[in-house]
Amino acid sequence: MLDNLQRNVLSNLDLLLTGLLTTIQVCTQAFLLATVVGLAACLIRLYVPALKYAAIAYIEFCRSTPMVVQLLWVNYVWPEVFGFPGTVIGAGVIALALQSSGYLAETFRSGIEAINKGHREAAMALGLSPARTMRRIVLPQVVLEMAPSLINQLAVVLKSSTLVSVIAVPDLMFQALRLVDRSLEPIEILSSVAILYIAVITSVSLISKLISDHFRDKYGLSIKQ
Amino acid sequence: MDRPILMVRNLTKSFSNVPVLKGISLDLQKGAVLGVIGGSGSGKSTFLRCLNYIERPTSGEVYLEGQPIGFQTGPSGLHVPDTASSINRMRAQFGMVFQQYNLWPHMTVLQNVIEAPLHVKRLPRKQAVEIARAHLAKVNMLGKENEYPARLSGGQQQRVAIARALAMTPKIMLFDEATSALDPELTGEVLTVMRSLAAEGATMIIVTHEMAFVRDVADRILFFHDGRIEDDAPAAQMFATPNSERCRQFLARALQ
Amino acid sequence: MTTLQALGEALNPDLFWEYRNVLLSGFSYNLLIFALSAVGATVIGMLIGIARLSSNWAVRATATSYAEIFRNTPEYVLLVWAYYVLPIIIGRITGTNVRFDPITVAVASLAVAYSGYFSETFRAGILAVPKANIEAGMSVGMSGWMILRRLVIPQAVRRMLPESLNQYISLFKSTSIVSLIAIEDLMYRVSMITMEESRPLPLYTWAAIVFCTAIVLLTQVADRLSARWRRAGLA
Repeated sequence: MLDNLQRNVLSNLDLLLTGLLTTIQVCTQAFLLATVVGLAACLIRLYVPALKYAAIAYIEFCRSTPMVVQLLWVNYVWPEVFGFPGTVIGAGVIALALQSSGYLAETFRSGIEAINKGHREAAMALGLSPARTMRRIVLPQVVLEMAPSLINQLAVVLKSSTLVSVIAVPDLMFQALRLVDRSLEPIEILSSVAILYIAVITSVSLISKLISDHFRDKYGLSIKQ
Repeated sequence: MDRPILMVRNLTKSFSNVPVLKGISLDLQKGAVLGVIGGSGSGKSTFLRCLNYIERPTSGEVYLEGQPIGFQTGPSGLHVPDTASSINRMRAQFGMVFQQYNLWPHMTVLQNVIEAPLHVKRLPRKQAVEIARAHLAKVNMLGKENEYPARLSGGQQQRVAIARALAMTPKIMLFDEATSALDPELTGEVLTVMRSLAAEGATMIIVTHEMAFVRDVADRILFFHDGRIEDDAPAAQMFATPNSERCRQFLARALQ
Repeated sequence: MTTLQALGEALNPDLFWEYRNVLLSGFSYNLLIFALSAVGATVIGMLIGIARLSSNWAVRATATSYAEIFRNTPEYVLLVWAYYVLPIIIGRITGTNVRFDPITVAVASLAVAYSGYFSETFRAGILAVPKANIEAGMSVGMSGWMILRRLVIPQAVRRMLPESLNQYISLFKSTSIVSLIAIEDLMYRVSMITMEESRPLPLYTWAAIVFCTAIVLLTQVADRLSARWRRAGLA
């Protein structure tokens, strides 16, 4: 048992580590991209009437297409039609970001709509401009309300990121499957990788929950997870 | 007599074609304390919210110290709507206190109070903080500057909200049922603050259900019914011999 | 190929239509796996949900850990683990040569993966049943089991219906990963045809369009149903 662990996992630690780094890189980039695009989609949906339905169509497409389908679509179709992405990592990042941006756009929207109308009125009554009210009163509250959901979405990105191995992005899952292919001894490798994924994702979810509890206590916000 | 500080001319407001205010006109002198009473749905809150343009009136005019709110008179004599930024500037000359306090939960007490002086009046931070402390002292909330609103009682939150409005040195204070959301034992501390403001000579319009308080503090009282001013009299006279039958019935029920 | 030509090729439905029978029979695998794993996830989720509310500390802790672990496990990792590792472990324990058919593995993995979510929905549904209801049951002499079966579960089920529908839709989306253990579902066949025809643009694009449309429609139906239940006071 320990022999096997040594032979299959520990001796290949460098390979698994580069895989893990790729996973982290892909997830971070996808998450940042998804946050920006999701916020943009949400603001367009709420405040740009001419583009409202385009934004809704985008959001619904992102939320309603399975990850594997988006991944293959972005990887094989986008380079021909849009001229990018040029690499499988790029395709993985975009597909993950597409998926999450749809969910985040809806999260942001419910966050903005949940802001008490009275807080905006109080800002108006004091003469704050609409732009300043958005920046100082609405968005900070949205961020606080959303922080737990945002972090939770990071957990979702981590989960979905296992699928980018399908288009040969050399992430943790990819390296693990390659080692299994080579050694034909799956037990130790796949179990260790599974435990690692579960531990990381559980910690991220836990952080999200702790933050949500803390904010509810400190600011009295009605944060739902 | 001086020019009135506030002039309202034939103000109306409809929500999706349902008229809520049906033509309100009013002159208010500087230093006056005006009470506004009436049943729910009588339009008294909408009236208050139209004065500082939080609700855009359907028609009519509001002048503060002779300056029109929300419109300019064009060269041809027609009214043209004002720019959003100049409405914002005019709005800040009214201080408003809301039923639900509406303190911003992500800011501390001090941050709530200095936000508008810093960014609307563009005062230097040091001066804004000084002013904020002075007003917090006035509402007896000094020492709580660094608390978040969630940690304060309703009465404390409302007192901070009053300090926040005062920090802009408004020309008129508007109170929109400032004690209605409070537990009975907490209304006293807020009413005390309002009473001392009145004693200092602030111009105030107070929409309220606290009949005993308004009788005591207001110089003059309006009774709203169905979007109109049904009765308008000095406080003592309103409670002793109301002009309208409806007002008499309302007061009888309210004072029970 | 210019961008415009590429776009035209991507949106050209001919190839997708030509292979409609092959693709449809692939899609039937998605439906089959969805139906079976939905039943599995519901049953397991319900049991775990009840166990999470048990008064027995050990039962409660076990059930809660189960739910937490599987809610935080990537479905693909679970699928691959169940496909490659589980048969070996079971084989070693029983001393026999075990082989699982991929469909069984897919159904079991998806059922387990989603049972975590369902247990949470079910638990929340039970907790939402007013305590007074239970006390009323006790006051007329119903036993604990009877209260659970006759009062709590029927109400909880109604409350959890809208959220369950959303989870079934997620589960349906997730069935597209079964192609990765060589089940010949829709996406598997799309990849096969792509290799044969060397025309990836229309196939992947139309696969995305079809999945997206199907799920948008299902979501609409789910929303309508939830709204109707809510109006009827059921949910």
